[in-house]
Amino acid sequence: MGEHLLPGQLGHFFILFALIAAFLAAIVFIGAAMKKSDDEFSILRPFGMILFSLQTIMLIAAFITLYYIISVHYFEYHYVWQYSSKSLSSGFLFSSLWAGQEGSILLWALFQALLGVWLMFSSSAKLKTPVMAVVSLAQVFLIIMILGVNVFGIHFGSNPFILLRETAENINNPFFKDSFYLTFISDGNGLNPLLQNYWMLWHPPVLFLGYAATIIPFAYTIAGLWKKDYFTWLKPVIPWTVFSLLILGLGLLLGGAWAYEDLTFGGFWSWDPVENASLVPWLLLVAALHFMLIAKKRNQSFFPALLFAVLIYIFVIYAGFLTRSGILANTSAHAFGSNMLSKPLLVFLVSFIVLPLIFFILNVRKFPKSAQENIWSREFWMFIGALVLAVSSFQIIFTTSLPVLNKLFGWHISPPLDRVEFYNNWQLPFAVGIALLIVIAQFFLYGDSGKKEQLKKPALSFIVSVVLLILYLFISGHYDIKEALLFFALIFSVIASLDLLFRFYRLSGNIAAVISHIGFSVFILGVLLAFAHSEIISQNTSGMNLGKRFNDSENQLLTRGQIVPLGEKYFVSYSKFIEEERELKFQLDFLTRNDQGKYIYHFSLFPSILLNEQMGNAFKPSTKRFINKDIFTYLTFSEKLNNDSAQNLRELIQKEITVGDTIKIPKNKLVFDTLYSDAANKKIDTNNLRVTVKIKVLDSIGNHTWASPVYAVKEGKVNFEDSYLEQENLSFRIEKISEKRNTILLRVSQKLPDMIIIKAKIFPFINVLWLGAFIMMAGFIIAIWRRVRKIIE
Amino acid sequence: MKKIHIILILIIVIAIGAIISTVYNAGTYSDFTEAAKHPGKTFQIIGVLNKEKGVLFDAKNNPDQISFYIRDEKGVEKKVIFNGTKPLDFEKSDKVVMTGKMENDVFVASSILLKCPSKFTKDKNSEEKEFKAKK
Repeated sequence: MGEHLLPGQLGHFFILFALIAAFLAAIVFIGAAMKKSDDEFSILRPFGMILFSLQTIMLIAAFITLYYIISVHYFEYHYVWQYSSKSLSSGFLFSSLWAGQEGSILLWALFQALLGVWLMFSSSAKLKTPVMAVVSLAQVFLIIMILGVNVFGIHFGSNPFILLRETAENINNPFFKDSFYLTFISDGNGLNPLLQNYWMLWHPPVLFLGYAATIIPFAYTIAGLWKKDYFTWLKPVIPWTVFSLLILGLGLLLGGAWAYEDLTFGGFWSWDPVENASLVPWLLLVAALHFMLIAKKRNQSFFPALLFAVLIYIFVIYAGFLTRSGILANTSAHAFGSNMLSKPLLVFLVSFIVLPLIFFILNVRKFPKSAQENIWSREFWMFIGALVLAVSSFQIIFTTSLPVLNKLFGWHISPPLDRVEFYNNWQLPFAVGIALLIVIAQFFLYGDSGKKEQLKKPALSFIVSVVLLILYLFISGHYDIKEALLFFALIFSVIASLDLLFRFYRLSGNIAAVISHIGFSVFILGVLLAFAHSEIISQNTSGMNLGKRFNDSENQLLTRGQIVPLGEKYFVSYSKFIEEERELKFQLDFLTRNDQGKYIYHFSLFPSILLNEQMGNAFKPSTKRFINKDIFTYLTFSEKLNNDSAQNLRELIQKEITVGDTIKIPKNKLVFDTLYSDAANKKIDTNNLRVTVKIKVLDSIGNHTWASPVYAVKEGKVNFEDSYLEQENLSFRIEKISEKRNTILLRVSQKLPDMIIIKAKIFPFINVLWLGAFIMMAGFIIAIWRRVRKIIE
Repeated sequence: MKKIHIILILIIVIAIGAIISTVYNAGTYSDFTEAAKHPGKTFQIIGVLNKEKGVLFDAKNNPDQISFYIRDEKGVEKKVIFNGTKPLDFEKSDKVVMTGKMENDVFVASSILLKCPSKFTKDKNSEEKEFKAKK
């Protein structure tokens, strides 16, 4: 049948073999960990390590095979047909690899395996076997999902290497019974045009690497509980936690950058359930990191440190479940649709909740008792800060989980009606709290730090911040108490942290932490400035007063060639329509008017429509970046997509007329002057015919011009040769030749002006946001580098 | 009692507050009949676009409004007004999730979310259709 079955068979084999190896590795490591003589000379260790390495090699092989079948366009494979097409450039062929569920799980498993290999050689000898046992077990659960087995008629998981004809919906399709069916499948479905973006090339793999890295705190926690050793795990796990924080954070940022650049939701973050699901593990990572630091420095808070280290991975699996099971279908714009992965993910989730639970119960009486806490100490305020983060994540995940709760309890609760406002209102006080706690915790020392003295140190920063707040209120004119509070808390935490870096260097001791904290506060400051004060400058200028109910007058109609004001400063003109193979671009020229009333050109933006027949078209925004603001524009409507009005014609009249008739249309008078046909003298051949008519077009003062549309039939095919008069803006078409002598069905239409509707927004100071993100990431990198260096030494 | 206990209690209180406020702020998935009984109250309604009646959008006169007809899950059809431009591929949508109020027998939607079978993952049925078309 012309199918290439070998790569698929290899792929199936690699996955099956990887699963068996991971399963055996898990058993061997569990066995080794349970033995009393679990040390470097145990014979089981190298055996388990070989199995784990084999599993990793098999996953790499499966990944390469999948890339191979995508790159050579073997559309007999379901995954290839579904997510790629011949026209994709090689970079985006990589995107196809993880565009589907199966591919992205494979990537997750691969990353986790590679990190596992790293752990295998780097983790402390004492905890190595239990750590590897847990990682191997997680591998088993991940690989089962892409094995795609049928247990008692229940589909469990889904394999990336199944053939198109083997899928459940095609198995009985007679189309595939045709032995030449492949010749009919000329191209794949293609990648969603929205995903064909530079950021999107990096967002999923980075996010998955971040997700994969969270297995490390989880595995170390179980190992610590298993060996009843609550201390050893902290040293190696802290840099790994920062590593996940960095990578997952980067993944989230890339996603935000993509949403900002490619989606017309108009923003970086929209509290969409899918976004929330990946933010929660990040917040939990931050909380866990602080508990771990307290445990390591002060020998206390072991229980929360262990608990949160475990929670991160549980919420990573939960995020996978939320986004992949289709349960969010009615609440998220991302909705990835239901799939066979929901059941195995649920089993994975439940197992990885029960497993740590057992270990916690076994250890419950053995946790070291913590001493009476001291309010004037750094650890106390770090503890509070971590708790605030925990509550903040709880609020996010609870609201996001409503569809799950609906399903569990049969409720019919829909998410908050104004989602963004609801989350913002809740999270704003948390952000204020975190910013203030950053200052307090950093100015105290671990242990007892003498209360009054430490409190005086940030006094100067406090005064500077108050002055800046007053300036901010004065300049921005936004007198909102909540915003003012947030602004103050953030600016205070930035200035106090800077003060700490320069004046009180000795107090901090940990530059990386201070830098990360500055980055965090600057980032949130950027969010506040750019999104709380974004300004919509497009206006509905149609002049229709729609009353208060319809105050959403943000859509602006632009007619090609006309210059209309946009906002206070600019004038805008839709000047050009550029048609590319897969993108329709609309050139908007931004102008200003000088005192003489002359227009001065500044720049052009190109909001566009990405075309994709199979996946649906999508509007793409276009943004002009300035140092202090972004001008963000996108289309909300264009007639270019309506095939009926491809010519943008509006019919004025359609009428049957005979030679000599006169008809009136709004501005002109039309006289049907003559009709001649090249078949007139010969025998009439209805398959080959050419009829030309002459119509006299008179305007109101009596001037006239001629229109001569043609109706041509060649070998049975009708060809309309319309006549268009530029001056009058009239288009003539002979729709039909009537059976009556010298009579035609004439259609007169008017070309509509080319017009589009846009929205335009200004995001002030959005660069502050990027700067903050950059500083925060830099802080994480320094932290990892310092700790790794210490370990190496 | 340790200070930490006070703090933990405080945190539990905030968490319960989060739950209550979520439920309080939440709407309910409902239908036109229910919404008509409580005019002015906001509901979320899931329905299907009546494609035959089409989508009315007069871009020239008012680019900020469209109107169309939706049949809810109970089979009741109502006119819907939405303040915005016509969403891309609206006619191809599978399901429409709307938030809004009933006013004079017209549902005024403040937001609409389209569920297009083709947008992010392919619907099984449409896959099959495509094959037939290609053959």
